[in-house]
Amino acid sequence: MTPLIVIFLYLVINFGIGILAWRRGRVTADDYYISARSQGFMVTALTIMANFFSAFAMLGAPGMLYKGGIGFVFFMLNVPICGALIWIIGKPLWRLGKRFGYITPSDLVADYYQSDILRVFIALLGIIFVIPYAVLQFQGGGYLFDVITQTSRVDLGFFILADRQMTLGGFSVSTFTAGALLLASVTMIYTIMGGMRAVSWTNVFQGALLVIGMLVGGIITVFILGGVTGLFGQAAAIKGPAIPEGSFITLPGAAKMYPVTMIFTFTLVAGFGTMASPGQWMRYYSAKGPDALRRSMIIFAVVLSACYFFGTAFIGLGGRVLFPDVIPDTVFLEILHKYLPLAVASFFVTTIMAAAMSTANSNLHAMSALVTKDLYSRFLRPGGRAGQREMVWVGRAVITVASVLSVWISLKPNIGMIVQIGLISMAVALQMFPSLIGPLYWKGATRAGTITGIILGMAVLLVTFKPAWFGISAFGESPLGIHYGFWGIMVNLASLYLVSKFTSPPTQETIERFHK
Amino acid sequence: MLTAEEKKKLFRKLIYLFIFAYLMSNGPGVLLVNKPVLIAGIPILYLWALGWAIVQIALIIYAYYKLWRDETDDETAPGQSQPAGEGETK
Repeated sequence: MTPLIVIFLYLVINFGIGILAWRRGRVTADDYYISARSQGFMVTALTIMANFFSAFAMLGAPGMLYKGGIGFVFFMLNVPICGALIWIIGKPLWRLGKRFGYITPSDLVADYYQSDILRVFIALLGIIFVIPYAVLQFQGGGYLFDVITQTSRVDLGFFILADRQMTLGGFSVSTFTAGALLLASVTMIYTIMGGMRAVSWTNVFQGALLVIGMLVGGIITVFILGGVTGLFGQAAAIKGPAIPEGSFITLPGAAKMYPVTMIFTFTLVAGFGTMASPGQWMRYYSAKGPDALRRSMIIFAVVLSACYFFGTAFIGLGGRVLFPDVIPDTVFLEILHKYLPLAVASFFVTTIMAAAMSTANSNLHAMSALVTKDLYSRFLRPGGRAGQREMVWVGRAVITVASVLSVWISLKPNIGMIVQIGLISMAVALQMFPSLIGPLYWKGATRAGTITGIILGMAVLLVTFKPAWFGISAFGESPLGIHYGFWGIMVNLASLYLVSKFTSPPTQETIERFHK
Repeated sequence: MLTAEEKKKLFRKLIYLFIFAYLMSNGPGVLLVNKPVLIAGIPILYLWALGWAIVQIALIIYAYYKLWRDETDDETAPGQSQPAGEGETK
């Protein structure tokens, strides 16, 4: 019963914050989607962090260390890159957003290039990014509820929890399904009600929780294994039939997952892809001023690096020593369940839940803006026929549909490890990045170059992701050990440059409007 | 107080240093230490990654103090203008 009570309390607090935000908000698109550009530095920092840190970091990253060894530590170097990007791209995006009243990423790109095709492309890339990212959060919700209630037995007549099955009335589901549904439905309801304000306010609470959960999780693992040297010493000694001794603390690692080419490329894909994603992009717009972004950059780089190096790394490597044979994505949960009293373990489960919910709500909310603003009001109700209230309600419908779709996919068997799903999202979001080059940095970038870059980048991403789908069997997945997102972005950037050299940039007036 | 030109030069230098740090951590530099060796009980690869992460964060903090801390909000009040070619969608 204890896990249910603790999780219930956590959900009630989130719900309460969501309701407060809803009562404070106004039914205008500006307020619903970007909090009327009013977020101070603490909210900005925590909402950017909470959006960034998800089930990917709390469950998936320890799983990757568990499976492949220390190579995944190098993935953590994407955090300083992301920190720098909060200022380097966040500041100019905030400035242009404020100057021209942008709400979505497509607003900016379509305005600079005067192109509805680019508006649709950017919106579609954003949507393709959001669905897998939401899926992995709900999958995380399923895992955590499943593990934490595995020994629970509750019988209230109308409600029974036993043997990893939950029965309510005549309706029975596995605890994995119940966890995914619970996380998805609570997230969906408060996001629908309160929009960006609810998302940001809950993110502040969730962001603080997830930092505590990650760091304390690392400390607990170190303590169990007799200190840092005990943990690393035992990880170094891991060996098996296909695992030579020492492979857990060297590259390419136990399952040969991390050649240097891969750690070089997937870190860049994750760093640039995450910070160009629609959810983060809209957080730059939402900031009150440059100071909020400037301070967020420092807090983000320092705090999240500490969480990764002293939390995730210890949990993943230590987890392999403690539990040689569990589902990799559940290793943190297994540590909590076995070594902590149930009430304390349940609290830490809520910190993981916080990470999953904070990212799911941010991205579902961003997706509602993309569909409502860039597709619905532009093409179905053009000329401003969609009023403020209508836009908000269409956004709410989109969040509902996207949540149902994502949770349905998350319940499918064998959809892959959490990090693998997350990296697909990041690789797709990365293809949006070159669309920023014209508005922010290079006056020579053209509409044709940007469109060609996105099309070819996505095509190459797809082919290098699964060459076998295209009858190419000579190369493995991610040819030459280079991440498919990196192949895509290289072709994207090269196409942007070459095609721009032979086509016309936007008018001088537009260029001056953006680059003054 | 640095001039705009000096700031530009310093920014460029810091970018080069950041790229160098990245090449050392996640690029060919990591091959220098790719051995199953523990230093004070900690794998050399972990220390290498942590060390370069600290260098990168230090560069960001240095840039914050030297380049970015004093940049001001030079924009108009929010919501004054609409996206060009957008109609009245807000």
